[in-house]
Amino acid sequence: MTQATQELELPADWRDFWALTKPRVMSLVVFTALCGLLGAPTNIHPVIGFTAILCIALGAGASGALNQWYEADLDAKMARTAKRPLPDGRMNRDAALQFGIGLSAFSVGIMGVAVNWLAAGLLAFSIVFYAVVYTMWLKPNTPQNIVIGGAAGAFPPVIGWVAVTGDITLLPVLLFAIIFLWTPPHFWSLALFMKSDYGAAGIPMMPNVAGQKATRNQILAYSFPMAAAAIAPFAIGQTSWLYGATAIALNLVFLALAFAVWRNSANDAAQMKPEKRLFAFSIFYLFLLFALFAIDRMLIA
Amino acid sequence: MSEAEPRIYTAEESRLIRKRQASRSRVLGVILVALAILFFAITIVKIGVWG
Repeated sequence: MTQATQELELPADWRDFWALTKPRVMSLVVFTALCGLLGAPTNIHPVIGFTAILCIALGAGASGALNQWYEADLDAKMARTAKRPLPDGRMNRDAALQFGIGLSAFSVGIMGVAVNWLAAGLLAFSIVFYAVVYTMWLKPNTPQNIVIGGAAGAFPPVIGWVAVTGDITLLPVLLFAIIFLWTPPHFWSLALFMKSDYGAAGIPMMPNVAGQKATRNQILAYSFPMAAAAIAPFAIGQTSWLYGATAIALNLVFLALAFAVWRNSANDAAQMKPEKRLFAFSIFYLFLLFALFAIDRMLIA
Repeated sequence: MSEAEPRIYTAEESRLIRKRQASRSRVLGVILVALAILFFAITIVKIGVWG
């Protein structure tokens, strides 16, 4: 190859490293972790609390980077992800791997030294679970990928809680259950109207493998235990009516939207308004539910 | 097999690379200062000065 034909390889921009951390996913992780931390029954020094949230955010960013490093070839096949730094050729693949591993070690180490080692252990487990168990093993092999993989996204509020208390009780387990059971309806509603995108990348999402009807059945089926888990903190007397009434109202809306998805039989993404509505509402639902949980618990305290 | 000839950058390419490197260095500098402040604060809290 002559010099004239060699393309100029610029060093990756810092914004590309930032994009590698999946900032939008990170914002949800930070938010749920903060709610777990604020909802805990004891107090934490603000500096240590800030450090805990920072470590959780960095751990989530590290998971995102490792995920994008491993899935660069898959991302190139999907319109939604083709403009990410690796498939777009803006970054060297090794740099992404080193960034992901470095950030993982840093976040877990600082969490252990500055906060506590149980929180650090949970953070390390959640990073490995997302990057290895979900990304490398479950996602390319089974349509149940996001059911089991959803556990990775359910850890942040537990880690936030454990950062304060140093132990795991029923309430953080319920917070875990809410996100764990929320993940299938959330992602499958997206997968229904993004079916062709996932299909092009060869990812065995539920609509591609089991069909749209089976996916819609499962969305509705998961919405019931999710609603039960969401109302449980109030039912066991750990929150007031503020959280209880909001949780009941939010879950009624969620169930109504899931029911609309179940009734829809459209195959064309353009006619999947119920699925798009459920997907959009599910994000709002999780934000409001966790915000109310934290506010309610702080008012009780 | 002969080794690939080293790439000779034009003035414009060198300027682009330096600009990108400077931008990364500035961000890294800000992060390092922020971490130094954070580690100082953590240490002060841990030794009990701020309760």
